Amino acid sequence: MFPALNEPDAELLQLLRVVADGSQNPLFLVDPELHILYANRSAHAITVQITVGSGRQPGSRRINELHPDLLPSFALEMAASAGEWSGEVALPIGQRRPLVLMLQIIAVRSDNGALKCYGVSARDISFEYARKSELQARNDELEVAYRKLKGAQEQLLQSEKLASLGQLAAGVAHEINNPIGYVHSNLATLQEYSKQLLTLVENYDRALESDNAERARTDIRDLRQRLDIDFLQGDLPQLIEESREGIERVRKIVQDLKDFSRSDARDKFVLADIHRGLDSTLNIIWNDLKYKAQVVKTFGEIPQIECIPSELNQVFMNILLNAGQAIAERGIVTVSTSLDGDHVVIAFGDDGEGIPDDVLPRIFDPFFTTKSVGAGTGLGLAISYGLIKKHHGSIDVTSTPGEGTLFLIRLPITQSANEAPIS
Amino acid sequence: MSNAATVYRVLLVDDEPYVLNALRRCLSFINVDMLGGEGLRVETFSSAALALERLEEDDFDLIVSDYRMPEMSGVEFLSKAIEMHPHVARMILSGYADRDAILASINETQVSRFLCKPWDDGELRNLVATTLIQSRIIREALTRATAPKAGASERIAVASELDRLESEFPGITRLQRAEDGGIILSLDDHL
Repeated sequence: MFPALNEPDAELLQLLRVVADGSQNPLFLVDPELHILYANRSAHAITVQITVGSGRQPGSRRINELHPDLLPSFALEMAASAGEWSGEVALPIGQRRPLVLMLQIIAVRSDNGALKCYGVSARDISFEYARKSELQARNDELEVAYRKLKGAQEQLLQSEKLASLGQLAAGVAHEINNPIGYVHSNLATLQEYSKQLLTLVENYDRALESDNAERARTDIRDLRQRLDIDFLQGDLPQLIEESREGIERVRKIVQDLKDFSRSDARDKFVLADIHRGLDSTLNIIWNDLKYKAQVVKTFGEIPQIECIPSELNQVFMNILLNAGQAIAERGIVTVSTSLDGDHVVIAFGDDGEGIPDDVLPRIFDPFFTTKSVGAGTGLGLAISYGLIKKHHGSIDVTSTPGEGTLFLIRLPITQSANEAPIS
Repeated sequence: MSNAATVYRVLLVDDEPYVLNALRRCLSFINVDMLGGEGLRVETFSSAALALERLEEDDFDLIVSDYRMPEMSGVEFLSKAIEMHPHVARMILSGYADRDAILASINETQVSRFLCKPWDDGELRNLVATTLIQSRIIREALTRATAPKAGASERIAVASELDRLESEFPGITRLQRAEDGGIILSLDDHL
């Protein structure tokens, strides 16, 4: 349709010139020595902008005298060897934001292959560039803020864990120190008893050697009376039995603590018995509950479920401790389990003071607490909510002020139906 | 003094019977020499309420109570015991010593010791023996001081001491009782 370029058509050239002059994108034609052969109107405007901005005099005919970075030598070399180069150049001019140009440099060669000129078409992307840098800076700021928040959140989670640990430690210390107390004391008594028994044995030995049987018998009878051996005979088996029971209690508490934390399988979904988790949790917070509440367990027939036991135990503990705290004097805490289709349902009830209507919608909010400053982090239930969500379950609460509160937790038996666990 | 009062009487309260058994064994090794030749009678209660009933009937030289108990705390128990026997020596023996427990024990019941479980048998025996002897001396001094038959010089000494106390802390030597016999404690300065 158009004649070939090596047969310049005057009329077509004229039309091209009009189009080129009118283009919003600066266009240059420069010879291999970088003298400007042609510049359209936008190109003139750019050169003025550059020279004024950098304080030089306009009118130079060599393009790299306008600004040394306008056509970088490496870009020209690339264009000369590959035929074309495109890329961005940023020209710092004066105090203003840099002039950023999107350049396309085409090397034009004559028939014999000699470099004839470069065609340079540019697009001013300063505005987009500035906006992009700004966005980048904002993004970096947000990134930093996010990382800070993330760190703060982890710290809070940790402090909540420590807070509940502190409460645990108090209860567990009491629960362990009682049996340790009497076992420790019984051992001291046992030492005395064994001294007395050994004294008696010595006397028996002496009696065996003695010639005066009657005298020996009297001695031993006296000694038995003095050492109150009759009492010792009755008390010794009892002392040992009580001490064994005490040590067994300590062993059980340590085992429950291990079951409760299960630190060996952190963050892994495993098949686990919910009843076992409930029992070990009840055992370790028993000390906080026993002086206030009677615990009524109604465990139904439920299968093992895929879960992270230590995390569910943490949820159970938070709810049970709250239940205990809701009871002012004496009350009842109920724990029941049941099967509902492919879910298990765990219900925690108490007949404590209940949760007022205006408080109820906020109990799962982070940092929301009705406890006095320092007594609660306000994270217990927020974390519980997150952990149950992680298990693809739900946690609901109904409460009547003055009558009590009921927490219902629904957990799927298998996690496989869901996507990979959210971490 | 009557003969019945010469035996030292100790009352132990803990909701754990095995702790009581261990304490009873521990104290059974206190020999008469440690108590200046007097005997020791130990009574144990796993219920604070039953212990209070017993305290209504009889006087004791020393009460050792657990802190955390189902019916009432050791501090509540001791407060009620003091109403009946203001001069009884008292200690708390607790498995867990949190700040509130210690503060309440000291501020509300002025215990002479706050002991922790596990306890050391030898130390406990010594402590109980010395406390018993001290409390008996104080009691006897108080009895003598208020007894009408006390010697004149003793009475003068007590009276001058009372005068000194009264001048320093006006009202301290007078006791106000409510109709039910309870002691009225007032912080009012004009008393």
